Amino acid sequence: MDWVSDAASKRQFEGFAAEASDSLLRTGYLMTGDVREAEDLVQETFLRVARRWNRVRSMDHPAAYARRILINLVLDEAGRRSRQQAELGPQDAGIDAADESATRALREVDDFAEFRWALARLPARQRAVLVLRYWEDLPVAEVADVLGCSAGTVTSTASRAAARLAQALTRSGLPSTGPATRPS
Amino acid sequence: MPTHELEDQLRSTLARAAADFEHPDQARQRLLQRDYHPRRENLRLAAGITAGAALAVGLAAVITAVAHGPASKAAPLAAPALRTRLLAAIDTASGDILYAKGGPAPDGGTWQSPAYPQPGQKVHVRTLGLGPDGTAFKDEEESFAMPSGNDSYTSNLDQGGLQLSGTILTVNHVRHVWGEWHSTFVLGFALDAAGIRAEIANGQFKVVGPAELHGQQAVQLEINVPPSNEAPPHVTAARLWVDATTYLPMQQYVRMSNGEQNVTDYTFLPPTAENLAKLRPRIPADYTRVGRTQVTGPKPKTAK
Repeated sequence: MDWVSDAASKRQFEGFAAEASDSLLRTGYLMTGDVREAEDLVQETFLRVARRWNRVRSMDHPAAYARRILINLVLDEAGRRSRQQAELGPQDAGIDAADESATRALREVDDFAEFRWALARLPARQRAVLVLRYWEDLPVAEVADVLGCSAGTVTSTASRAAARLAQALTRSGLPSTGPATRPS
Repeated sequence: MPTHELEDQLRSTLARAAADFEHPDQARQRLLQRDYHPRRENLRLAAGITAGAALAVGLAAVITAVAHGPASKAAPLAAPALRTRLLAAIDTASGDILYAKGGPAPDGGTWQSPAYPQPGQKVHVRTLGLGPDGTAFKDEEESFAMPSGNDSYTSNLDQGGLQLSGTILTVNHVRHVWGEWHSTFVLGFALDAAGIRAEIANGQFKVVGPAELHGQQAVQLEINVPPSNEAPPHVTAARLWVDATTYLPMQQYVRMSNGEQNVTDYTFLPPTAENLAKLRPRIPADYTRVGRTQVTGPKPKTAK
């Protein structure tokens, strides 16, 4: 068991959790579009961090480790769902990274429930790229490290994700790709 | 690469969407009040899958369960989240010693370390059989390296047990002898906890609902067992109760095609020196070490 039960270690973990919880909650919120699921995700993340706390606490950036766990939880769950569901999302082919129209679509967002709905419709890895790169503001190389892909894949995925997000926001007819329900 | 303007717009929009999180302080408070300390001694754990169960079902959509931690309250819990918690709880206890009591051997029991072994990890399983008067009639330890392969638990269990190569230590209390030798053997039920973990990981269960077991709040799960073409006896039903607070398995129930029913309770013990000693059969000082055939073979005829 990696958890050290001494009071100092426990206090250290609690301090870490207090400091990291807000950012993790918001990241989880953007990744899932659901407050309760975000809370579940962060709880699960903390459980896993606690189990390895002896090692995690000696890391330079324990919060980065926790964020990686959270993102992987979402990706794992998305992978499991996609394996279980016969329905696959549409291919990216034919979706051009029309940056100008994407920028325009994003600029016009005034209903963030609608935005989160559109975000939740993206494939999990595209969502993760956007959230890590533009909400967490991680460098491309760090996003690539978290997701286990190349920097080039991160940038190309970001473009496709932005284009797809814009299309969803402008209701250009993308078929349903995921479990997200439309906000009332 | 997206243009700078698009990147700036993405940052701005995501920041506003994240800021839209309602009552983050309440969520933070709930999170910080929870106990993330891995579960402790004498927590009842259990599991619910047995050899031969080739299962196939998706998770129930939503259940009501008790959320994790002492400060939590009853709340709807999405099945994927339940699955995540079950696996996390099992992983947390993976290095512990699993004590299983009941099932085919109602007296005595089985101690296994580690509870959920990883491929390549050294595993020790002690089986102690006690008669009605408490006298030991079987005391045996099997030590082996966990085979590699992701499907080593379930596929081999479906075939009746894990084919293993390792060391066996047996104490024969009838003959007052003991022996230790290298051998190949099949390990069946002793690793069913590992099989259970595999089935949970595959999402092959559905949630029955909240329950109470041994005075503790639990969640009852049902393992869907498809019809079997195998020769009887085979498993026809399997149920699993997990602790509603720790999400560790507590008890399993299995019904066989011949009508036999088994209930097994599980306890996870921390790997202290005292508990690790329970993995080793007790060899009385006056027992003689002998060869394998003298321990397990037919009782030698005595001259009249």
